[in-house]
Amino acid sequence: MSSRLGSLIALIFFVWLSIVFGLFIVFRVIFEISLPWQNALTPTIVSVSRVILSAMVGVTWLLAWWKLANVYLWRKLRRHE
Amino acid sequence: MGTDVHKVDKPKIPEMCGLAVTVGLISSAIIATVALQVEARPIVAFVLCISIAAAMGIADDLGPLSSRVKPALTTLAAVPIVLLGTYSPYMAIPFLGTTRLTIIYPILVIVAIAVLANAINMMNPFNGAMSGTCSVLSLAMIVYLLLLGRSTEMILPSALLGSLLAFHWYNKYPAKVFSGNAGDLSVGAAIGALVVMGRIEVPMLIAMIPHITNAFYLLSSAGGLRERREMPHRPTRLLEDGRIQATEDGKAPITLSRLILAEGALRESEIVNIMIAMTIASSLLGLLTLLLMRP
Repeated sequence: MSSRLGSLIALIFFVWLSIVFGLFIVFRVIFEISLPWQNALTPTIVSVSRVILSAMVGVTWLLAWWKLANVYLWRKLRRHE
Repeated sequence: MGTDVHKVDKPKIPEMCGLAVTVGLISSAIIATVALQVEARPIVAFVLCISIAAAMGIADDLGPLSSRVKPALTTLAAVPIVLLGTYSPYMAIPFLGTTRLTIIYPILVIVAIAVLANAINMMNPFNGAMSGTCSVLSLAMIVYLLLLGRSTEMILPSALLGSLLAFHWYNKYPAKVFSGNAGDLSVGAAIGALVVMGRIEVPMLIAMIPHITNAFYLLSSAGGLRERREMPHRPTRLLEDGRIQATEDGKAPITLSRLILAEGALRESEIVNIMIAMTIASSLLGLLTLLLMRP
């Protein structure tokens, strides 16, 4: 029972770490992006790039959670067949 | 009356009793407004929010709403919060600090309340699961608000905690009453409204990781919004000895209860205890996040 709870809390800890790390990437890396040249299109290109890259971080979060849950479920189920 | 499908003898249990939590919350909110002379506008918005969610839940309990209509209708519960302006568009975000989201925030309020109400509705497959985990979330809210020095905002989470603990006494294994969609949606909307009004969005997002990931796993593995009756492949099954086991059906949706049972069959009360322990763990991580966010 305690090892089962430990594994499930580890899953929660992974999700928490991915959220914190993802927010760090978005706000400390992606939001700091700038282009070396300046023209009329630069602000638009920077804003669109930030949105696309942030969305990619979000999708990566969800895919990682999904993959982890799948691997955890099927590995445990096969072990107890 | 509903059937308790996780018992061998399938007893009939009264449904929609979660409305007792709604009534308890509304009466506590009114008493708090009068006795403590707090500002009435947030209380009115809160009471309207949970009443609308409860009405949607009653409609779903009496004649099931479609899986797409129900989440859409629960967005209406957020309307009083937005219209009465009982939110602050200044949101504290880790690594960014306090940021102003004047245009996006009202949209986030609507989405957040609908998502949280439905996530809590999805996390109630067993006796005492909703009341137990939401009691932990209410206590977490009180602790977060205490640390932030927002004593006035602690009144409603305290009322929610009291109502949920009283309800848990009757809803815990073996349940004498079921909360029904009416109770689940109104408690979920109450938590969503209190998160917004208390400005504790990020710590509560962390505290609700079990609920949010359960909803995400369910929606993604079931291929979108589906009601329980629309899913022929079940994630768990009841054994003859009364324990519950995860199914090995590849087409069955992934849920938190299935993940909990992946290591072997458990009694219903043990599954709920694990769900409560997971919510305590995520609430502690929410507390850690709050402490890391403080300047």
